[in-house]
Amino acid sequence: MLTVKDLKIEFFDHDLPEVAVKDVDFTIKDGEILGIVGESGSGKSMTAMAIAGLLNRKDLTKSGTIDLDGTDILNSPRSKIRQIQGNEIGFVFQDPLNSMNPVLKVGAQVEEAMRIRKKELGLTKEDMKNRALEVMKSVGLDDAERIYESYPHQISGGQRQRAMIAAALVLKPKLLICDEPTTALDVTVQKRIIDVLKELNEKTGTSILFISHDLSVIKALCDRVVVMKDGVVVEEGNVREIFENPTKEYTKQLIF
Amino acid sequence: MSEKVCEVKNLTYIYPKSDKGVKNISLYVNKGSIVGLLGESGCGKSTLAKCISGQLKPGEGEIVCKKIGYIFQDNYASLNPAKKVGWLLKETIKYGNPEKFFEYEKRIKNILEEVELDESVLTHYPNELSGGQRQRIGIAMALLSNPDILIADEPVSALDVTVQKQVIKLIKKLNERKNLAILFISHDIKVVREICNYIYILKDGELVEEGESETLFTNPSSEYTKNLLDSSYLE
Amino acid sequence: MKKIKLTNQKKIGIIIVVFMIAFVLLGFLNRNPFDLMNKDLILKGPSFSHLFGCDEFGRDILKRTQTGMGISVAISVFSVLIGTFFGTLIGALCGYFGGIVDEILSSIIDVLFAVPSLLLALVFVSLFGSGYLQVTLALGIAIVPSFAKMMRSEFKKQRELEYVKMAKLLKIPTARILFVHILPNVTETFLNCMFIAFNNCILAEAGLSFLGIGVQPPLASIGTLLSDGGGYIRKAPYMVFFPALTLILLLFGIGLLSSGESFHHAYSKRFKD
Repeated sequence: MLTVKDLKIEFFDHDLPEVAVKDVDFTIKDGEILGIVGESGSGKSMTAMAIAGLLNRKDLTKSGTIDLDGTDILNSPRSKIRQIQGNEIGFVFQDPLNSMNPVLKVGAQVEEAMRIRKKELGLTKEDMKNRALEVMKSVGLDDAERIYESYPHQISGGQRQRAMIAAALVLKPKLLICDEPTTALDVTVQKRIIDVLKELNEKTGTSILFISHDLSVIKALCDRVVVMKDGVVVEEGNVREIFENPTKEYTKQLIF
Repeated sequence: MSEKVCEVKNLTYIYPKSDKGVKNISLYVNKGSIVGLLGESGCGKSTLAKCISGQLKPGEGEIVCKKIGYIFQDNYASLNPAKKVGWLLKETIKYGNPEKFFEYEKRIKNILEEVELDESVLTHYPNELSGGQRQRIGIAMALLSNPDILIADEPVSALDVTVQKQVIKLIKKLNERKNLAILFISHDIKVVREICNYIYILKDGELVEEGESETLFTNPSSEYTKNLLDSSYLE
Repeated sequence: MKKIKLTNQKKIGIIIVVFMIAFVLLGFLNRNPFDLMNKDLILKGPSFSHLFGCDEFGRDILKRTQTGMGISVAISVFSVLIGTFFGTLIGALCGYFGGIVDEILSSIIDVLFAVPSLLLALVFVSLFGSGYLQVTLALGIAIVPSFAKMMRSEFKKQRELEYVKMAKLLKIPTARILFVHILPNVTETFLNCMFIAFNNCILAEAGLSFLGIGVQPPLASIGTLLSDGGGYIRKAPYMVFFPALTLILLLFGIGLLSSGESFHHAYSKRFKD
């Protein structure tokens, strides 16, 4: 369903071009969970941003194609990308505190994507609230009504991250991109988030692109994994196989 | 059997205007051992480290410690960004070990060898170095005052996995070579399992479990430890 | 290998400021005395021997502008030095120690803030008589509150960083932590504050001299030149024009220096593990 081909991203920061991502190819099939693992500076977040259509910056050049069910995200005009964002791709950021607006209620932020498309979808306030509560419950926020009326600082880090996942899911996207969604969280909370993502994938068949620096988390969640280093794909394949028989020296080093 | 370099008895510290802090903690570190302090965010492990190193004055309890070296978590903020590495090391000798100041050049050379850094780092600013190099300099600065115990507050959690491994190897080596006691504070079970001989587990300001590294991981007694192990996707 | 990267704004600023300094220094080569009156030259327009023209007493305006500018700059520099010294000291103590020290010093600063600097200068002048020493002192004190406030917030931020805690653990004397360890990290704010304070000083001095309580004749400053020229603005507009032009140029140059990105450039070069 998603095919990334020859993706290359270059920065122009200090007059010299700096390659962030080079020759990246991979595919995500329907209903699959793909992991990207790499250390800081490996270009994993850049790749995710490119797929989500968030790289509309003047200080970088990009080439290649990112094909999502027939539309090329990388080379589409902004208006087209905005249609895809939210509708077909949901995005969850690393830091649940900074990715939420502290002065808006959690419920309003979960509804955000629906509110923008209120007219085309013909939604009423009631519909939106019901849908938001439904999604929030589905990601394991049991007292969704209370959290709907809370501000971000009133709920815990784990709850915030679930709320962000709910916000990414309200429009039932086909692909959910999670950029280090559990790095800022404690391990016990991390496990619950991973379980939620797993369950979501099994129930609704949503594909997930999961980015992490932690190979053991990837192993617990993903079917396939792409190992990246310095902007290049080092190794790709089935998680279990790579974990048991890493062919590249670098992958071995990543396993603790 | 062996000599205690640090002992904490019934320590209690509650932050003013809150009920958070650490309650009734007792622990000790033997010479030459690496003791782990494991817990999730907000469990009070940093508070404990601050009490032991004297940054906070404990409300109750007793702390008996020999000379302490301290390694900070954030290797960006723990080295003064406006000064060159050479200056920082020199300053550390000047105030941490003034009687040896006359031979500071030799000391700096030795210490760099010990933390496996090249002498070229001396003329650089901390921001020009990589995370691993900065953390090594942090360790060097802690060692320069000839401590008996090293308190390492999350020394590797800001680093990449491959760099983490190198720094852990270095800490282990220092421990063996100098018979240096280390109190290793971390939230990461994998790291703690890798490095520590004896482990204390902290939750909400209280010790929930302690024990030898192997027995604790193979046979945890408290529910919380089991939960923690279960969540960490260990092999 | 500290790289100082200058933005274009700063480059232009430096050029203008250097030009203005040269302008003042060239005054020493100008052999027309600044206070010599000559009744043949009264209100003569600009000519080759007197490029900026002559004033109502036949004095050379070029020379008077150069001298006046020099005096204005000197007053401002010394006021800024006084203000910076005490402002930094108070701000550093407030920000670093916090608590009761902060509360006491901050309330004094707040009271000082409430007094307009012009009023302060007037009080000074009426107490000690008028003259450039009094003006310098008054302006210097007027700078202290704003400087102290800026420095207080900077030191407060730095205090929480771990390198300061490390220095404390090493038992480095507090004065050394404050001014050797922390101060180099706040250079940017420090310099910008100085430039802004300098501009304000030049303006305030001009204002005071315009009111006649600053530099006393026959000595000139930018303020007295403007106030003298103001009376002849119809008959001899060049009397106001040239001093005003130099004043604006200087303020503009200093303003450019304090704007935009930092002198203390973030280092881009990185090493790999």
